[in-house]
Amino acid sequence: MKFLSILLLFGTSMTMAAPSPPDIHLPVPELETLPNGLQVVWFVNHKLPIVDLALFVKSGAVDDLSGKSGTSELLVNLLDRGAGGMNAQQLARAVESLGASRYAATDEETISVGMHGLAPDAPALLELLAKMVMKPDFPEAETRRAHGRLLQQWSHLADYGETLAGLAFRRIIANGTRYARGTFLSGKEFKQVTREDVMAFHKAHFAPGNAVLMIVGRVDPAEFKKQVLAHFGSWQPSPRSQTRNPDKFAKDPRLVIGSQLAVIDRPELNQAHVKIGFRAPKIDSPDHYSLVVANALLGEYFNSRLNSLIRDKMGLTYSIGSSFAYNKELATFSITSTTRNESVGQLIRKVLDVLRDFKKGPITQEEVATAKEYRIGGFPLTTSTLESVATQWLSAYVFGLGPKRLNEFIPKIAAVTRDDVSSAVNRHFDLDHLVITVAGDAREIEKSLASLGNTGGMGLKARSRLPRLKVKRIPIRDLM
Amino acid sequence: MDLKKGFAVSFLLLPFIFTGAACKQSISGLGIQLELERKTLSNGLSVIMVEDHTVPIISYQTWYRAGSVDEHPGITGVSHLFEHLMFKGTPKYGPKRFFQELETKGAQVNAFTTRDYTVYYETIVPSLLEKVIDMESDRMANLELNEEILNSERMVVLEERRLRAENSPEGKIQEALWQLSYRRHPYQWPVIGYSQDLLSISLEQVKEFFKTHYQPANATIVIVGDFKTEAAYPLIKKYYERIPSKGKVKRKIQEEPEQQEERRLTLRDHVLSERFAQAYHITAATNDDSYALDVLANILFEGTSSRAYRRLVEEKELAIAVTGSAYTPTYPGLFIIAGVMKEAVQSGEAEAALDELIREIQDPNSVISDQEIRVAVRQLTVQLVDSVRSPHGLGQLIGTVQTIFGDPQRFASDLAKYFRVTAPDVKRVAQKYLIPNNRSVVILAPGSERKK
Repeated sequence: MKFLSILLLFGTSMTMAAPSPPDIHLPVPELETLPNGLQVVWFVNHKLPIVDLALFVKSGAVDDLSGKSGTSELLVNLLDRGAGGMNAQQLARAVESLGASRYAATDEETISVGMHGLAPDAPALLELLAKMVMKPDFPEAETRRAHGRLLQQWSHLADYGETLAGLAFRRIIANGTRYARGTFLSGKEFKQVTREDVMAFHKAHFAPGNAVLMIVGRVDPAEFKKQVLAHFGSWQPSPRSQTRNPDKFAKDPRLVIGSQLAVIDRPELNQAHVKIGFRAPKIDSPDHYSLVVANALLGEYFNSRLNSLIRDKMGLTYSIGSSFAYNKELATFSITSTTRNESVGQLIRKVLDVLRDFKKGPITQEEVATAKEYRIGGFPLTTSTLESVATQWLSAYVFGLGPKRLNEFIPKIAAVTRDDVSSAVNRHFDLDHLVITVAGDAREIEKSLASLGNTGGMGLKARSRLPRLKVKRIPIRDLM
Repeated sequence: MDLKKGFAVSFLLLPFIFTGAACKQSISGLGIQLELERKTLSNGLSVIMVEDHTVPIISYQTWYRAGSVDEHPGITGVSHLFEHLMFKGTPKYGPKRFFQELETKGAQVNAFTTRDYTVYYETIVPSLLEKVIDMESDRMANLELNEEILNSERMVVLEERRLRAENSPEGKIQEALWQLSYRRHPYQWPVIGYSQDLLSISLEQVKEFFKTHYQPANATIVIVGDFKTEAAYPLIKKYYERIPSKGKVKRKIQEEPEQQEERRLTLRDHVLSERFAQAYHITAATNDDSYALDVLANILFEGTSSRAYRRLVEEKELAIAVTGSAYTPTYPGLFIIAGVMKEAVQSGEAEAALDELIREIQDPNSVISDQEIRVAVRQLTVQLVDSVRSPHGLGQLIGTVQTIFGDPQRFASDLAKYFRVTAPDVKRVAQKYLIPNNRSVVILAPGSERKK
């Protein structure tokens, strides 16, 4: 290990022996399928007296009907507002009196409903979970109130520059797919969502064959299985259960975007939130692990290329990082940062220089070795609790990546070579289809962009050899 | 049903049991078992070790008794500035080496600063333990500080300040609230410091702060996870014992005089609706009123069945969110309530509803049910069990109580004290602390701060 540090310090290009990857054995869940089709996943561990019970439905906001964005969001906000003969207050008291907590959430692909509490309360929490999932009442008065609250919460998102930059980025980069709606497209469209829409969504998608029940923590499996059967065994498959048709998404992921920069005006902020990115290969791409290594050395750790230059050397930001984000049919890469208004142009130019150099190469052997060591060495930390293993297992399950996915991580990363990384970056870092969003005080930001020169209004073209960026200002109201 | 009752009774009577000699204690209860060993080096460095071999991870934490409470006007933010400077290197391990040696091998390396202390932590695989001990002891003794390092990090911290304080609605309110609440005590300034101080603080002042506060007698090492005490402790002695002792820092803190009248401030920003925060002066962590105050905060604010959520969000539909908690640090802290109003609703309406709720609790003839107390204590119990799920969480809990109370097992006896809180205790602390003349209120209203 010491030898490696010395090499890094002096930046030589010697080839070195890779350290042997750690031998990690992750907990493997017990799986079973009930006669009604519900899959039950058991991650049993007795270390702490706590339990997590969660039901995942394999449908989400992309399944909201056209013109009805926000249906699944409203649904998850209503599951604990009356179910199985209990009203909202009775449900809340029943859970909270155990010191437990509950949640219901939707993203684009899935809906999750769960309970977290002390192990002896697991039977009571399971019963409440079953009521919320299988027997929600969607009372009219509660639906009206939840609808109003969601509209209010949605409108308040405009108070935050970070949210505005993220929202605009998502809308532009996912344009042409239903992911562009997110879980909530606009207040205007949400006003069209009715109680009947919610009930229809529940009927269509909440069915045992479209769900997974996860039991994580301290339970006696033999005893608890009886409880699972008692509460979920009678759940009848819905005749209208739906599975998603992947063909409805754009076949060509680059069909609808070109390089562009959008400024979202949030007056009087003295700091701007910046996002820069492009569409990326999906999670099942053969280049996936090479891109995981590439991303690490580009923008994940303190000594990454982006942080070393933009924060550590230039002091332009407090925080800069890069990441890939995955949906089933769409993947994106993005760099996120903040900087004072007057240095927005400088930060964007420097980031684009880093990206251009990264694509052009060379990426050194040492960089790749360090990034691999970072990902392999960090793996035990990201799987250090049962809950984190269960979450990652579920994520692989949702993406249909097979039960061995988690245990493949270390050998797959270990096998990545410098050539793999270079060619994956060259193939997939699509600098001709960049999306840049900046949220902050538009007047100040545009001054900073203009001060960089007159090449394409951005001063980017000369050095970065990038196409002209189409610059536009997006009013907040167009996002909300 | 019987099982649940039996369980609740055992919770109530005996949350934790202590056994063993003074330096090594077994703590068991709530289905958790741990052995905690405490040692002190000849130079005054406290070392607390908890072995846990469940996963191959170690959390290594260095707690310095140095926070914004140790600053004065002109050098506000210096304790947090060290959170950055401590990664800038020593003659032995130059700039970036902390990340090269540890983070790029998968370790999580970071730090945080509070009003009372600063913590540096690494979550590592066991093979990195000696390297961490070497590097942490090295920077405690030999940190390199110069103008170039200071100037680059003050720029980064100013960016952090813009992010957390100046451009965040919550950050703005919180900064103003503490400033309004305290007039003498150093809790009045933000942990991140004021911009003018961050720009003007000198290298000499930074060096002086380091010399005074970053030394063994003012620090505690907490190690939790997959290691053997008999192997780790000799390494700690080897690397730390050579650092000379300067004695524990004696803090000279100005007491805050009793507040005699309500204080109010209105700020403006481009937000959709009014937001507000109230702060009542309360007590310190060492005062047993703090347990009843936590229970009171849970009864009022924890969950959607809490009194305040039901009244303000569900029944009156005034606010979209309301929160509250008792913050009891080393010195007397604040009971802070905050809310976000629905569009076009004035925060005064929420304040009136909150006053009504508080009066109901204070009323000698009103009822706080045993059930409400039991629920609140159970919620606090789950929070504690959750916090010890990972070696890092357990280490943080132990480090906090050690730094504030000088007793690493205090979290266990703390829980026992929650179980002894009664309805009259809750009523009494509400009557004692939650009175209008004892509070400060900040409102953030939609509008512009720019002069027209």
